[in-house]
Order: sequence, then C-alpha cells, then structure tokens
Amino acid sequence: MIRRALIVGLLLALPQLAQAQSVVTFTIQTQNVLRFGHGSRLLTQCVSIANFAPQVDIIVMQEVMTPGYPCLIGNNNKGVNGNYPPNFAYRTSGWKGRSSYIEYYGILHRTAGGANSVAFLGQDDNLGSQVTYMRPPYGALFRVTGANNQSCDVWIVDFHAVFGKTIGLRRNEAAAMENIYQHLRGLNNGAVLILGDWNLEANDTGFDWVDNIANQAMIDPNVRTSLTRAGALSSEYDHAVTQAAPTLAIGPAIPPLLPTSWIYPSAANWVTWRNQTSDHLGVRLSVTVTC
Amino acid sequence: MLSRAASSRRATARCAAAFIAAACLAGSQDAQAVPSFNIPQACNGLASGAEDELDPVVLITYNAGSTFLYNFPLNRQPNTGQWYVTLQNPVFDYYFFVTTYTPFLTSTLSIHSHSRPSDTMFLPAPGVSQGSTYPIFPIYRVAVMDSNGANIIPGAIVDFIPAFTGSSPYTMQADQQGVITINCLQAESTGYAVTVYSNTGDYIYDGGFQTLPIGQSNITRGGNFGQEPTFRRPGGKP
Repeated sequence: MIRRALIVGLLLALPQLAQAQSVVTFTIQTQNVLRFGHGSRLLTQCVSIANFAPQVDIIVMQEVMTPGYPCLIGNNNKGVNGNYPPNFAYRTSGWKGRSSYIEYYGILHRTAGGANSVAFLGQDDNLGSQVTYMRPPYGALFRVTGANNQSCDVWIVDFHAVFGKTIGLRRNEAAAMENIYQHLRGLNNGAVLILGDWNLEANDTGFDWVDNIANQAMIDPNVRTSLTRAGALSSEYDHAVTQAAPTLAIGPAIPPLLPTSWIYPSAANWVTWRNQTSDHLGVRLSVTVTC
Repeated sequence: MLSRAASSRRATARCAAAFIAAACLAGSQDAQAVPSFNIPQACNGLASGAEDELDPVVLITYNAGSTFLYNFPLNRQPNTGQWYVTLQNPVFDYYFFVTTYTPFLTSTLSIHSHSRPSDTMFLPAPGVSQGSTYPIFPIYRVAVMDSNGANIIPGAIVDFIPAFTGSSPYTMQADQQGVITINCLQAESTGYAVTVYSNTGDYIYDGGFQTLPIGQSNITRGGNFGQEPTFRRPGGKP
C-alpha cells in the first residue's frame, strides 16, 4: 500500500477561521550516528554534524552513547574537545536498553542564528515501557518561532527500534508506536512528529496503523538510507511518522513540503560518510505546521 | 616529506584544534582506518567490522548475572593495545565479561575480583574464552540462498547481527555469485544470525549460518542461530 504525503496547497485552501492561524516552516533531520561517542571516529562525526547543522533547525539523533553531547570534552574519553554546533542547544534522554549495552537519545535544536528559533518547553521520557521497547522513545516539546514571529508547538519523538533476530520484534515496536502517537495527539498541545531508525521499511505491516484514517498520520520517506560497509545503499530504515493535515478540523497540522531529496549527504559523499560518520544517511524534512 | 600516516595524523590534529567543518573532512579522507583492537595474527590485519574503529561492546555482570554494569567506560593500554576496565570498590564476586569486537569476534572472561579500592581487569583478545581460543578463519565465505534454499541471491544485502542485546546490524552485500567474504571470523557453535534482503533492499527472511571447518557455508532461512550468551560462574549454574 502506498502512503503519500499531503501537499501544502490543500491546507491553504481550507475554509477561513474565526481565529488567526500561525504558520511556521522548519527543517528537521533524523540521524543515526553509529555509536556516537564510543569510537575513534568521534571527531569526524562531530565535524559532520557541525557541517550540516546550519542547514537545519532540529537534529534528532540515535545511537548516542553518552548522557550528554559526546563532542564536549567532559563527555568522551577520545580526546575530542568540541562544542555544540553554533546557536544550538542539546537535550538528552535517560539511558535506554535492557542489558549492559545502552544508548541515549539526543536532540540538537536551534536557538538563534537562522530564520527560526526552537525553544524547549518540556519532555516526556516515559512514553513507553522497557517491556514493549528495547529503547523506549523520548519525546520533547518545542516551540518553533519563525521569522514572522509566529510560533507553533511540536512534539518531537526520537526513536531507535530494536533489531533483534527476527522481523517480528521490530514490527511489534513499530505497531506499538500507535499508542504513543495517539497519546501525544490527545494532549492537543502540539503537532506530533516521530522520527528515527525503525529498522523496517515504511511499507511494512508494522506501520499499518498509519493508514488508519482516524489516526490522520503519514510516514515518509521510504527510501534506502542505511549503507553497507562499502558505502552502497542497503535498507529503508529511517522514517518520520507525522501528523497529517486533518480534513475535517483545523488543528496542528504538518503537511511536509516535498524536498528534492530526502537524504543527506548526496551520493557523491556516501563512501566518505560511511567511513567517517555513520552507516546511516540522514533523513531531512521540511515541515510546515499550522496552529 | 611526511609519511602518509604522519600527514594524516597532522590533518587530524588541525581538525581537532580548529573544529572546522568541510575542510577537516576533506583533509581526512585519505586517513587509514585503525582497528580499535588487536586483530588476531592469523587474520593478517583484516577483520570485517574492524574498519568502523568502534570501541568493543562489553557486557559486564556479577551477582550470578543478575546485576549489570551499563556502558562501562573502557580504556585501552597504549603499548599492548589491550582493552581493560577498572572497577572502583568492586564487590568480591565473580565478574563475567562478554566482549564483542566485531559481529564475528568476541571473547568471554569470568574472573573473581580481589583488589580494592580498585581492580583492573583486562579483557581477553578476540576469539578467546576463559583462556581457550576459538578456531578463527582468516577468510570465511557464505553463500546467500533464497527462501527455499535452492538458489543463490545475487547481490543480496545481509545484516549480520552481533550477539548482544540491543545491537544494531552490520551490513554487507553479496557479489553476483551470492557470496559474501568475511575476514576474521571465529567458529561459533550457535552459528550467526542474519537478516537477508534482495539487492534492492526488499526483506526476504531471517536466518543464519553455521560455521563449518571447510571455511564456507550457506545462509539459509529460519533456524535459531547466534544465541546470546548465558551467564554462569565457573562450575556454577546460570
């Protein structure tokens, strides 16, 4: 089955409201950073992030191995003495995992220096249980303010699914995410985006709930974003489940502007990216929220 | 003129000092990956998975496997290259270590702590378990078979699954004969678990392969490969 993104124009054609709406457009990238903080490639990983940060407003990261941004000298034992990308702040989850191996979720968000600013409002690090998820997702609520001083609030949920030995394990986690999606939508205090490394293609049955009209959701992209050791494309693992524009009511809505390319960096750099940064490409979305 | 290795180190030093963007990555492109562990001698410097230069993942338990230490900081001795952990105020108990160097190289150790206020414990080299060495294949070839086990899958994409809870896969691609060549693989009685995709990334099956003395075997669907280690003290029950 095909899950399609909605076009911004549909939203603009909706009936006029009694109350003025705010509209903000921002760019967000989800990035699995391959054991970020636990390898000698840490420096090049930090440089890679610093390279693309000016192009985005929010960076959602998986496989962060330290309880703080790994590029800071106090957060690694690799001798890397870096900083956050300029004009970015950082949020971290608690530890995630079921045995000695644990990861953290990390979100970099722009505080200044671009068309948008993204202010942290709060978080929920108990969206799911350790029984259901290998790494229960982490949610952070942000206020995105555009150059026109209009603001909308968004829930950004960071997620790294289990891999395990069978696809059923991954499917179960993807299917269970419906509960989290509905919960956050039910709060009615921000539009909802769930991004990360799902270890499943977007057409998998684990995402059937996205097609449920009542959920008003969509998932993008479904392109190959992981890399073999040789730097060739392999699997469709990295996606964003987002709240679609509702057809019957006006509320927080996120129809994405279709970018020319979902993934970062471009093909010419995949071998270098695989060698120096990660076995996952970044997935980048331009998102418009109306609230 | 600087040697290739030295010039690469200098490029890295410039990057570390300046923490500048594109120029740093361009300058480091020809830096050689340095494995983060001592590759077994038999493997002649080649080990699939070692190119990522990642720290080993170590499962550390004590109290009969009921207590875990999480993401415990590891250090590497500069002269020998051996990894070690330093426990502060350890309990007087057996500590069990399962170290994953690559999806194909692990080691295990059970050792009783005996020193306070700190105790340094060296992790065994890849392929070593309680002093014994697994047979290691410098080269091991796997043929990726279709779901029926009848035909090879040219260009199949295979995710190899390291045997620790929460691991992410290591992805390799078969050649047009459906064969993947793995460098430096230890024999494993439970075999190795994999996920197989077509050459266009379509999921085909979960399966695995046994390790055979001839140095090659088939990846097939199903089975129960690559069981995670059971924690036990010497002579004790799990």
